[in-house]
This record gives sequence, structure tokens and C-alpha cells, in this order.
Amino acid sequence: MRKQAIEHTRLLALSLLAGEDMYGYQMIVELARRSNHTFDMKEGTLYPVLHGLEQEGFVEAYRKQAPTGRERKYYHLTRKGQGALREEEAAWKRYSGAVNDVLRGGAEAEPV
Amino acid sequence: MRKTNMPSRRRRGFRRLLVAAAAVLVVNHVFMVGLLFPIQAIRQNEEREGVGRTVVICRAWAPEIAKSQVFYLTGNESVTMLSGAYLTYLGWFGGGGLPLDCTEEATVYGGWLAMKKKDQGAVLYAFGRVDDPDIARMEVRLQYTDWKEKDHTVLTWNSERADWMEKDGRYYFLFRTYPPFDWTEYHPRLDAVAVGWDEAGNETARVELGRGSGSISS
Amino acid sequence: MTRGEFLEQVLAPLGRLTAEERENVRRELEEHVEDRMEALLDMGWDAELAESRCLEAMGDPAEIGRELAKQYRGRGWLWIGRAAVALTVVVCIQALLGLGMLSNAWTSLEARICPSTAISIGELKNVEAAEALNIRAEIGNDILRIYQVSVGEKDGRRAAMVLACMYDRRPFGIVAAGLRVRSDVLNQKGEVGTSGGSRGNYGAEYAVHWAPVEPGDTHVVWVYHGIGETVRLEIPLPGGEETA
Repeated sequence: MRKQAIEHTRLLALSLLAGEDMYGYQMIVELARRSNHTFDMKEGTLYPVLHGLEQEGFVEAYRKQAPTGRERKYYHLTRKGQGALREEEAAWKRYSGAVNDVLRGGAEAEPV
Repeated sequence: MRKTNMPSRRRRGFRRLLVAAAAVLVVNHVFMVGLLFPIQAIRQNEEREGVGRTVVICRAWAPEIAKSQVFYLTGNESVTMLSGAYLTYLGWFGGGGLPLDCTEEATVYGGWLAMKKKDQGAVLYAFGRVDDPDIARMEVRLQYTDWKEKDHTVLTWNSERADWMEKDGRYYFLFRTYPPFDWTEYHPRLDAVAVGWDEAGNETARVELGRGSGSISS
Repeated sequence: MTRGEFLEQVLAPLGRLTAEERENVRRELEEHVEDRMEALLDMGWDAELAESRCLEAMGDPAEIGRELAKQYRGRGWLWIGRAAVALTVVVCIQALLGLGMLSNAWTSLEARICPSTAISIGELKNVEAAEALNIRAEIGNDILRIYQVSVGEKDGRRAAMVLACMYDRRPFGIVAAGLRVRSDVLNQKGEVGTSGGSRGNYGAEYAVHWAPVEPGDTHVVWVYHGIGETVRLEIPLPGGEETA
């Protein structure tokens, strides 16, 4: 698993939880829905990310009954996690902005 | 909707730490047991003797009495005290202390305290405070008077100002010996006297040391 | 690969987790597979095929396990928690063994609120008058409280009996010892009286003192010799001195 993929996954997981508390499978489904199936990660790899966020204090976990009727382990974004999300978002904007700049710069180089 | 929390390692560890701290506080103050540190037992001694808050001047371990026996010399403006503490399965306990009232204007205040453990060792402390700035040299004498009214000196400590401990501008002394004899034989008739000389060699103080003593059975 | 084998491979590198943590991981992953299975079965997939599709979608179990193990490397709080539990248990056992010490707390509270008069039953005969008092003095970090005075007959002489107690300023604090030996009661002529019973523990001390009094005496004085300070308290004798 490339490090970059993990880091992206952290940002995705944090932003999914910003809206509401979710459990792992729900997050995978929601991720596929929002990104129109662009993100096709191996589902199990979400969990190390979630557990890492949990141990660091960015998310809290609890067990609750899901709408399906079964009990699931839900994750909740903490205040600390909200801060981390903002940081990761900012980092991503810087990174993607830089990539865009490079691409545009390449496009501008073409003769009009 | 029933919710079951799943705390992380950090959260659980922190919560357990808080519970432990609360338990220790309650047991220490309401049950007065479970003291984790010997200084807490000394504070209890302070309260019991009614001497007010004192500062620690020095600490002396006395493993001859018990593996965990320790004596603290503490003092404040009006009091000097030597008191002991030892460890039991219920935590540290305070036991055996001698406070000296230092409020009267005197040149030297002193006391001596002996402790013996049955069939084991004994330790003897002489301690006190020197308030007279002129005293340069001091001798503390342990003596007993026999039934013929004759004085026998058993032990002598000689010391100079440099040997004493200074704290908050006051000078304290603490001497120790392991009595090479069974002092309990002479115990009832033992006295201690402190004699002080100034720089020129004139005797400027002669003070009888107050007595305290104790023994732990078994 | 079966579901069981998959989970075992994930759990294999997780030796450093507590049993509870490992069980949580196993349960969480199994539930995920359950959910995915249900979705496929709803779509009409064959059960066996659905299971292998699910496990494939999860990813490499060994890799998942390794990555999970990395998240649980910090053992600091784990040991702090364990040490804290041990300390709590030890301290609770000590409290149970020292249950008798609760009487200190009880005595401390009792003296403060309603000092016991049981100490003096039957001491004074032909009691002329008795009065409950609440004279307090602060001595060091303790409070001396004179709470009752009576006048009657003791050993053939007319005497006043004074009950006092002492407790620490703080509700569960320790009181200085020796209330009885450190106190004297003097009558108006300056005669020192005698002391009677006393009791006490770390929580509070009680003492009884008597002083001979003449008709017409208005007060007696309680003197406490503390370290570095002496406190004198004037105690008014119960009224009705004029007895025809």
C-alpha cells in the first residue's frame, strides 16, 4: 500500500465523518457513492486508517445499533479530529493546487 | 438507542489514572491509611503534635530498627522535631516523634531520641537547633548518674558550626550513634547535655536535652 | 480462503494487542464482511461466490494485519492504565483492612456538629445548673470548643465541670493530641482544678476538667498550653447565682 494512498484515505475518512457518525462498511459505500466509484480501494485497508485515527484521538468509537438492525462500531469525529481535518484539507489544496499549476503551466506553453 | 463506548488506549489509561488518583486521595484523607510516601506520615506526625507546617531539614534511614524505618528532622520558626515513619502493608505510618518548643529565648534547643527493636538493633539520635550566633563549637554528652551520684559519660559528639545544617537562616544538628551497649539497662538514668563554646573558648551555653524514646515490639 | 482463515491471517501479526482489542478487530471485520455479503446475496449472488468476492474485495489479510499492528505501537497509556488499576486495587484493599479508621472521620464530624456528652455521665452529683456552650478558639490549625459547663458537687466540694473537645479545622483533618494534658481549668481565685476522663482519636479529642467554685463565682478559665502559644478562655458559669 503506497503511503500516498494511506494519506489520502485519512483525509477521505475524516471528511466522511465530518457530516455524521458512520461505521466502516457505511463509509465504504458512501465513499463509492460520492466519488462515483472513482475510489476503488481494497475495503479492508480502511480499518488500519480508522484505528490509527482512533488511537491518536482524532475519532472516538462506540457501538450502536445501525439502521439495518444490527450492532456496529461507529466512529465519531472529535474536536481534535476536526482540527486535523482542516489541516489535511489545507495540505490537499496546496498539493492539488500545485499539480494544477504545473499542468496549466504546461498548457499555457502551447502555442495559441 | 443504546450506545456502548469503546475508549482508545489513551482515553482508558487516562480515566483509570483519574480513578486511581481519586481513590488514593479519599483513602488517604478519610481512612488515613494507604500513604504512598513517608513524608505524608511525617505530615501526620506534625498534625498530631500540633506543631504546624514544618520544612524538612534532613532525612535519616535507620534500617537497624526496621527495613523501612526513616527519621525526618523538620522544623519551623517555633519548633524543631525529629519524628519517624515506617512502611506497613497499610502504607506509611508515622510513629515516635519528639517536638522541641523553640519559642522561649534560648541559645540551644535539643532533644534526644532512642529507638530499639527487640532482639535487633538500636539507634540513638541527638538533635536540636543552635540559635546563638556566637557559639562556634558544641559538645553533646550522653551521660548517666549512678546510684553513688557520680556522672559517667557514655558518648560524646563534638561538632563545629560547619558541621551543622542550615535552613532558613537557622542552624540545626543531628547526631547518630548505634549504642554499643544495651542502653536500655541505663535507660531510666540517661541524660544528655549540650555544651557550647564561643570562638575564644568560653563556655556560653549548657543545656539539658529533652528526652524522648520509643521501641517497636517485634 | 474461508472467512475464518481470512480473519486468522489478519489477527496473526496482532500479538501486541490486548485480547479485548483483538476481539474488537475480529468482530469489526467480520461484521463488514457480513454487510457486504448481505448486499451481494440481495442482488442474487450465490453464497459461496459471494463470500470469495467479499474476501477478495477486502484486500490482502496479511497486509491489513501488518498495518493494523502499526497503529497499536504506543504502549505508554496501556501500562499507565494497568499501573493505575493495580494502585486502585491496593488502595481499596488497604481501606477495607483499615475500615476501623473510619471512626476517625466519624469522630471528627461528630465533634464538629454535636459533641458527645456521654463522656461525663455520673461524674457530677447534685447538679445545680448546666448549660450548653459554643465557645471556640483557633489553636494552630485546630479548633478548641468548649461545649458544656455544669455546676454541682464533686468529691464533697462545689465544683464546675467543663466539657471540651478539639478537632482539626478541616473536616477530615488530624487533631493535635493531648487535649487533657495540655489543658488546665482555673477558678476565679486562680486555683487549678483537676482533670477527669478523656478520649480521642485522630479525628477529635474530648476532655473533662473540674474546678472548685464558690457561690457568686461568675466564671472559670480554661487554659490550653500549646507549642509557642497559651490560650485562655473565659467560661461563664450558668446563671442563677443568687440562691437565697
